[in-house]
Amino acid sequence: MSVVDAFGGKVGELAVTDGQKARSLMLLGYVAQEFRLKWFPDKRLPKSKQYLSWLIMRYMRGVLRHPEQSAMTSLFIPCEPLLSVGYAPYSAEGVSAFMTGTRCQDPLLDAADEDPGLCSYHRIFLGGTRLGLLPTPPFLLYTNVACDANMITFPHVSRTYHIPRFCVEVPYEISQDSVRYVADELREMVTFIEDQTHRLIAQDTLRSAVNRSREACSLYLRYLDLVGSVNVPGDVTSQMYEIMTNHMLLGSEESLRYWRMAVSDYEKGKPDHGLKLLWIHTIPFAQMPVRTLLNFNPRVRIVACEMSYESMIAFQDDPDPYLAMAGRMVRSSFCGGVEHRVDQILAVQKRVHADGAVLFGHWGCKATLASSGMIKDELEALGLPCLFLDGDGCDIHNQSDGQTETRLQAFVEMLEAGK
Amino acid sequence: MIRYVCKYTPIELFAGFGVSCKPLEAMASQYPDADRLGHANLCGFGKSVIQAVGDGDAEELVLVNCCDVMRRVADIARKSGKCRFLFLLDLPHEDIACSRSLFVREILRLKDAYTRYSGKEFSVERFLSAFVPEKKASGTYIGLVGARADASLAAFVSQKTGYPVENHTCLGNRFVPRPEGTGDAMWDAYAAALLAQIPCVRMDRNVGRSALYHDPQLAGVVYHAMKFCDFSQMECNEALASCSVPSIRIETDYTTQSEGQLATRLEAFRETLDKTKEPPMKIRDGFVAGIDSGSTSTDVVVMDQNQTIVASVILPTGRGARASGEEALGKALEEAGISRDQVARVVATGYGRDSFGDDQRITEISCHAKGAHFLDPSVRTVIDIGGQDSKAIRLDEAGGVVNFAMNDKCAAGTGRFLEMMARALDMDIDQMARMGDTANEKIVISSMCTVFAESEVVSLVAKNKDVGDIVYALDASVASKIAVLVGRVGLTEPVMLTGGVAKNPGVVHALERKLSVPLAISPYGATVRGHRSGIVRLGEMTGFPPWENFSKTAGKLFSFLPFVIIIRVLVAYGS
Repeated sequence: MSVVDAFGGKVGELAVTDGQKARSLMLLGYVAQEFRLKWFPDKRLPKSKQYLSWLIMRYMRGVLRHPEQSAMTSLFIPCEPLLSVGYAPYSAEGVSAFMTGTRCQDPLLDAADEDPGLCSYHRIFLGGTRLGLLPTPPFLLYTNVACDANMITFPHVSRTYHIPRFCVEVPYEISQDSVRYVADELREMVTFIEDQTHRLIAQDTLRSAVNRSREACSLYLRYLDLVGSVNVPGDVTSQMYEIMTNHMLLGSEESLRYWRMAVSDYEKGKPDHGLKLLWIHTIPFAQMPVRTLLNFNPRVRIVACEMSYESMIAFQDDPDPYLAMAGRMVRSSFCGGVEHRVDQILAVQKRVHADGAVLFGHWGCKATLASSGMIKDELEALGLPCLFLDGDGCDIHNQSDGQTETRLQAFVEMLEAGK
Repeated sequence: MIRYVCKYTPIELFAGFGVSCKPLEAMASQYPDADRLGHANLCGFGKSVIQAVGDGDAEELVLVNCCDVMRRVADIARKSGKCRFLFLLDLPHEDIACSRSLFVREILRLKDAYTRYSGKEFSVERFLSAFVPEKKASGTYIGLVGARADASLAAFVSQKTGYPVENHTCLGNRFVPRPEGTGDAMWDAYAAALLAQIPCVRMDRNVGRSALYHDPQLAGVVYHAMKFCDFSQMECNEALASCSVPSIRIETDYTTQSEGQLATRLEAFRETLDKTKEPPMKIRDGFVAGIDSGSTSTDVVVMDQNQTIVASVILPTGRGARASGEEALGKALEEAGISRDQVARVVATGYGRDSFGDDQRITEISCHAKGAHFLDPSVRTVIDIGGQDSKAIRLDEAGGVVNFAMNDKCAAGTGRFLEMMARALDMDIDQMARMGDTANEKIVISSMCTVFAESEVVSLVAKNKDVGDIVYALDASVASKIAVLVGRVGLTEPVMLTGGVAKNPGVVHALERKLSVPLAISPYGATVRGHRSGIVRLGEMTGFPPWENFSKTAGKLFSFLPFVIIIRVLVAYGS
C-alpha cells in the first residue's frame, strides 16, 4: 500500500466519524505535499508542470482552509467575477477529482448512495459535504452546462444547507441571441456576488480578468499547435490540473503564468514521433492502468483533453466582458447537439493531429454515454480511430483495471500497426 | 400526427394548424435497438423513444430537452433519418421572467418550423378553441409522482392500491388555461401558462411539487423512481420526507418486467392504507394452513385451533409457485394426518401468493410486521434479508406498518447475492457464513450491482487476496445496501433482523457496524454476536430444526423466519 493510499484511507475512515477532524488531517497532508512540490518537485516534469502541481495543491488547500472566502461553483461557471472580489471558486467537480487523487473517495461515495447512477464526481462532492469533510462556502453558483447533475446536486445542497444560490441557464441553441441572454444572466450573477460578498466588482477589474482569460486562451491554442509535433514529458495528473487552470483559475495571474511557462516548455521541446491521443470527456487520472500507460511514456501520450478545451477552442473575445464570458459558455463543447461536440473535436484535431481518440464513457454521464456511438461513428468516418472506454473517473467499483488495460493497450497496438 | 413526450409541449399550437397530437410514452417489455444506438445506462423512457423512432412510430416528433438523455435521444432520432419533422424544445429549468421570454421564443420557433415543414396555415381561432377546462379529482386518491409513469403503470398502481390515481408525473396533470390578449401578449401569456403548471421533477424549484403533498384529498403518495433517472432518484427521499400522508417509493426501469416486485410493494402499501381491517375469522373446529411461496423455497405450516403447529414442510419453489405450494400443502396434510376438507382456511404470502385461488392472501411485508411484533412487541424496525428480496419495515407500537422499503430488481444485498458470490469463491453458502467476521486488509466491493460485484470478486481472487477479507468485504457490501433501505424508512430501535441471512454472523456484524445498533434476531432480544442461541431457541419455539440440522442448500437457508411469520399469519387470521 502506498503512502497516498494509507493517508487517503485514514482520512476516509476518520471522515465517517468526524468530518472536521478528517479535514484537518487532510489539510495537514496537503500542507506537507505543497511543501514537497515547492522544494522537491517531480524532476521528470518540465518546469511548467512542476509549477502547476504546486499551484493546484496550494489552491485546493486554500479553498478547503478558508471556505468563507470562496464560493461553491460548477466547473463550467466563468470565475472572473469571483476572482475580481478575491474569492476563490470552490469547484464541486474539481474538489471531487482531488478527493479521488487523495484516495479517500469511498466513504464519500457511500454517504451519497441514494442514486448510484449519478455521476460519481457529484456523489463525492455531496457525500463529502454531508460528512463535513468538505466545507460549505457561503454561496453557490451553478449552471446547466455540462450536465443534469449540476441541476440536481447544487439545488439539493442549497436547500439542505441553506446556501443562497444563483443559476446561469444556458439555452440549447448556439447563437448570438443565446450569448446575449447568458450575458444578461451573468450581469445578474455579478449583482448576486456583490450582494453576497458585500464588495463591488469594478468593471475595470473584471475586464482585466477577462483579458487574462483571453490571453491564457490564446496561449492554450498555441500549445495545441505545438503539442502535436513536440513532446514534453508529462502525466495524466497534469492533464487533470490543466482542467482547473482552464476553468476555476481562468482569469487569474496564476493560470496565465502557467500557460506562458507551458508554451515556453513546448517551444523548447524535442520533435516527437510517438502516438498521440485526443482524450474525450473526463480522465480517470487515478486509475493505475491509465497512469501506467500514459505517464512519461514516449510511446504514447495525451495531446488534448476535452475537459480542458471545451470552452477554449471556440473562444471569441468581445469588448463587453459579459459577452466574452457568455460566449465561452454558449459555445462549450457540451452545449447544443452532438454535431457541435464533434465539430469542436475536429477543430482541436486540426491543431494536434492525434493518431486516435479515446472517448471515455464515465459512468453516470448519460450525455456522453448516449452520444458515444454517434461520436465514434463520426470520427471514424473522418479517419480518426476512436476507442470507446467504459469506466468511471472516481468510483473504483465502476472501473475494471483489467478491461481498461486490455482495451487501451489493444488500441495503442492497433494505432501503431496502422502508423 | 405529432407525437410528444412532455406536458410543457405547446400542443394547442398544433391545434392551430389543425393537427392532432398524441403522447409517446408507452412502456414495452424490451427495447432491442436502444442499447445499440444509445447505451445500456440510459433510462428506459429514453430507450422507448429511440425504439419508437426506429419502429417508425414517431415520424413527427416534438421532444423537450428535459434532461441529458432526451437531448441525446433527439440527436439519435435526427441521425436515424426516420423523423420527417423533429423539434427539440428548449425548456428552461425555472418559471421566472427571463425564462418565460426564452420559452416564448422557443414556442414561436416551433411555430415557424412547423409552418415551413407542413406548409399549413396557423389559425388563432383554432388555437384558442383547443384549451380545455381543468379536470379536478373528486374524492380521495393516490398521487403518483416522480419519474414518468405511463397509463399502464398508473392503472396498475390504482388496481393494486384500490384507489383512483392522479398521475402527476411527466405527462400527468397537464392543465393550461386559455391565454388572454392577442399577438405578442397572447404568446407571452401562453408561455407563462405552460411554465406555471405544477412543476415536473426536472424543474429547479420544488415548491409547486411540494404543494401536491398537502392536498386534503390525498390518501397516499407513490413515488416512482426510475432507474437511471437522476432527477427522480435524487429527489425521492426529500419528497417522501415532506409527505404528511403514507408514502412509498417504487422503482422501475420503465419496462413491464417488474410486476411481481411492484405488486408486492403496492399491495403492502394498500395494507398500510386500509384502516378497516376485516374481523379475525373465528375457527372453532378444524385447522388452518399457511403457505409462504418464496422465490427460493415454499414453506407450509399447518396449525390447529390452539395455535399448535401440527405439521411443517419446506420444498424448493423451482417447479413453479402453484405446483410447489400444492405439493408442500399435500405433504404437510399427510404429515398432520388430516384431509384438505378439515382445513378451514389457507393463507398465502410471498411472491407466489396469487397462485392460490381465492383464499386469504397477504403480502410478506405485513407478515413480517405481524410476526416480528408477535415475537417482540417492542421492535420498531424489521430488516429482512431473504433470497431475492431485502426489506426494511418500520412498525408502530401496535405492530402496524408505518413505512417500508424493498430492494430494486437487482439482487445486490440479498441472499441470492451471497449465493452468487459464494459460487464465485468456489465455496458453499455455509462455508461463507463461517468466514469474514474479521479482516486483515480492508477491501471495498460494490454494493450497487451483483454483476459488478462478481467481477470484482473474480479480480480480487486473481490478485490472491485473502478469501476471508473478500467475504468480509462482501458482508459489508450487503450491509451498505441494506443501510440504504433502512435509511429510507428511518431507523428506529429496537431492530430485528429476519430472513435466512440472519444466520450469517459476518453479515449481522457488518450490519451492526454499519447501522451502529444491535440487531435482535430472537424474541428474547439476543443478538447473533458470536453464538446462535437465539436461533436455536426460535427453532425450538417453532418446531423448526436448529442450525446444525439445516440442509446445505441455499433454499432452506433462506426460509427461516418467513416460517415464523406464517405462524403469525395463522394466529392473526385463523384465531
